[in-house]
Amino acid sequence: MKIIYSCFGGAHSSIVTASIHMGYLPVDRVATKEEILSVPFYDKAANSEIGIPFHMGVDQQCRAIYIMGMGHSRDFYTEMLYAFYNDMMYSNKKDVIFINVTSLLNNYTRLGGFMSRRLNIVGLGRPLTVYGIQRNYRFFTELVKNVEQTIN
Amino acid sequence: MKIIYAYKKNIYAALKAAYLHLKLQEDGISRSKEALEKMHHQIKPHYIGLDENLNEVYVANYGRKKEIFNNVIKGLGNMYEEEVEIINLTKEEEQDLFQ
Repeated sequence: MKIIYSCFGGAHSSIVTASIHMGYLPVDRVATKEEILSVPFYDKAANSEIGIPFHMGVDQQCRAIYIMGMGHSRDFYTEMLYAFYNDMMYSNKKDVIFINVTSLLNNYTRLGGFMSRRLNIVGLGRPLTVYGIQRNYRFFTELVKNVEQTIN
Repeated sequence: MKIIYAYKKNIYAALKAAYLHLKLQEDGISRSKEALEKMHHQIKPHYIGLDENLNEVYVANYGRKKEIFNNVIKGLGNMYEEEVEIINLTKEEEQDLFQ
């Protein structure tokens, strides 16, 4: 099975959620700034990479975990992807799930992400994204727990 | 391989390109505005046919950003080892093919 966490740019919220799922970040407490910044791909995706799925690893149940940015039209592209996937897979065994995590974002992360990724003010934007992620961290962990319970 | 003719607004132009690719008579494309609009609003790649090299030919609306469409579709194709070629129609091509 493949689980694809999607967000706007594929640089912050989807990366953090996938990292919690993979066990790179803790579930039982708020991750520190250093832990968040050391996660692979965190605050790295360029604009031209929006839409490209990045492989984050394989979880304990052998499910491949990916992250993907989808820009403003997440609903459109998610529907298009499911339709394309159904067309590609001739068997009834469907094994992909897209999870949109954008709703977990707050304005700190939005602003920080915009500054870092769009305006290239990384020194100011990146710490702001981390602060925003830490403030909403419990929502990310709850989502991952929910996903794991639902899929198992 | 899957070949997708991707358009933004003019599905008729994409259908015409796909029909030309498949060497089909373009009379077969519906001119009914309602039928084309219905097809346009369905968010999925529409299968049109199989060409002489056994490539599956589709038309699809690329939405707001063709770069994102290309990345997500090719990305999913790569994940499942499915070769995908996307031909994005430009605004001018959409107008020309509509004639």
